[in-house]
Amino acid sequence: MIKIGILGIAHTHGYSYVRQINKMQDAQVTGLYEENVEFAKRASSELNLKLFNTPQELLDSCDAVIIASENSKHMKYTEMAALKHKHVLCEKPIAVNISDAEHMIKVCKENNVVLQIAFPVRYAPSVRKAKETIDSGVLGDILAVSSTNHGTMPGSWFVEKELSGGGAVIDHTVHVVDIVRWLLNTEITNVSGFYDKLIYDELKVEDCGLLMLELSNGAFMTLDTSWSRPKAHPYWGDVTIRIVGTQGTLFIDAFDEKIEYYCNDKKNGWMNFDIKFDYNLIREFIDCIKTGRKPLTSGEDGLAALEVVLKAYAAKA
Amino acid sequence: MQKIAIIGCGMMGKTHSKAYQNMKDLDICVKYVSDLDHKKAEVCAQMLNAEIQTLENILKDPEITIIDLCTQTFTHAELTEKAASMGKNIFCEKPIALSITDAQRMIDVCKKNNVKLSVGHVVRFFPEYMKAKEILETPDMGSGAVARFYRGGNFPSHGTDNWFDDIKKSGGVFVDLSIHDFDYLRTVFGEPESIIARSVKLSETKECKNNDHGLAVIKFKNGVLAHVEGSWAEPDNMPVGFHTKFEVNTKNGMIHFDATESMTFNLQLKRQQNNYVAARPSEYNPYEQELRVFIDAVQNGSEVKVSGEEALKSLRVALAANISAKEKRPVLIEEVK
Repeated sequence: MIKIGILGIAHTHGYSYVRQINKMQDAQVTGLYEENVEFAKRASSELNLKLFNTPQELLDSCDAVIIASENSKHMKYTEMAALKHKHVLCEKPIAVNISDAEHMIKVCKENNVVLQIAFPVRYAPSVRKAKETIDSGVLGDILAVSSTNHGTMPGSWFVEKELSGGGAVIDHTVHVVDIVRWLLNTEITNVSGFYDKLIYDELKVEDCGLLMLELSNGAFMTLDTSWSRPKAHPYWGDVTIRIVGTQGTLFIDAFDEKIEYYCNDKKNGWMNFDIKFDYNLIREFIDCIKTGRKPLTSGEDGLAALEVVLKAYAAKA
Repeated sequence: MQKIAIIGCGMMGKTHSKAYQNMKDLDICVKYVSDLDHKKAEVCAQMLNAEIQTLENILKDPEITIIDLCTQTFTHAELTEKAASMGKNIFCEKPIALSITDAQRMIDVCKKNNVKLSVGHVVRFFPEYMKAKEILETPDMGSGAVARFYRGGNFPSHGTDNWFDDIKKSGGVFVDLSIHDFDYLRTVFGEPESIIARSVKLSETKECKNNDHGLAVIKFKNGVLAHVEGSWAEPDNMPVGFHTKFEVNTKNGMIHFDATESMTFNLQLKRQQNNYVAARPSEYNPYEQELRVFIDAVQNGSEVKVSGEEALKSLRVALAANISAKEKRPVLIEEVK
């Protein structure tokens, strides 16, 4: 039985991770430490979690942690966990600056613990199928990629730069960059683009971003990172990737399996019926803990994705 | 009565011929059609009961008031000059030309000879794009924020001598295809400020015979951001050939359109060829509408809807995309001279 502590749950993805572990026979959640009293209360009551008063007490209760805190706290918590020889599954982005990310990788390596970054879409069956398809060579040489990771504006700490590291660009660049690096076995060599605050006047961070990336395999790629899904939209956002090769094209719309519902008494919406990305992500974590192997989405992957984000911020045209 | 001659009987000449067939209510006559390829000319001549003639003879006929120029892009400037100097009004297929100099020459010669010039930016007449503009102009939606426009399909291999493949003749995917979206976006968001683009042909990323594919991100002067994807990279003979798609996010909402989700007629047949049809049959023909508006402007001396100046501005955006793709840097639209 792998015992997992939740170290920070400011990011609501943490709720899903707890629910996935609750479905598993070989893992259990020992409880939660969360600095923010309000976040702690809400999570413990919704998920029926034991609350710990200090990170150290939580660490003493478990073999591994899931860090779903605000981005700027990832480094601090990862260091605490690694020094106590606890494995780490850390929410994306890995950190808000390169030195934090590098330190996280180093401290986990030195203490011989797993460092996995939560890039759940890499575990999507459509993305895995895409990997097989591209590796088989049927698309020929890959020439271009156009991609989106749209979302609703998340508010809360996501729009406080000291906690999040930025707005829509840091929040939504890393997923697709991570996927494309893996799919095409490539690195991002150049970043340019535009980002701005165009929808929500009250924000201090950008809510829209359109990036142009150049890849080491000679292809080019665009990525739409915008928090542009209106609240009225039936679904939170998307991850889409259109890949053009010399021998064909491939379009991935990772969250497009849906049932549309129309109910007189509540908002209309789209409901997924077979999406298990988070479940697969946690299975990978547990398997890596058991076998000691490197996770599919490692700290190094987290760092590479973060580098693209920081280049995008630096390159605003 | 307006007497019209169609110059160029390829894909667009045929499309325009079909449009004229619907104009029985108008006092017009397509008197001539012309093409260097006699077989192509014959098809249009039959459709319209028109005479096949050489350009020289057509221009000499004083009865002809409108030249409908459906030739390859690189011929537009020279043919417009000839026709305008003979006093003919000109409807020119898009893109207006391949350079700002040529486009300006066309505008100037038409002005000098006091004839009208309009360019076939037909997307402005497509019902889904008209409706989208109408929705975006309602105060409920708020101002624009970030938009995405896709236009693509398989490579236009129908061109004589494969001229679409020659960037010196067609301008490539941005100038020939994405110009529709650049033009439409200008009508919605005003003038763009800068563009970052890459295209398979101009970026010379990989050896890629006979196709082109381009991605562009644009910043407009009013702050709006837009992504434009133009593609000739889809394989031939696919169930989904050419299609368009767009999404515009505003301060207070978004609109979404995907042609593949708007199919009203779906047919599947037990046979090997053409065994699958997904379509949206319509009684409305946007090509007919743009030509009707032009004929009306000639007839009544009113302003044309898509002027040469307008077409030049859209060309400037497409040329900026080409420069950006070639030099791999952000390009200011006003850099393009």
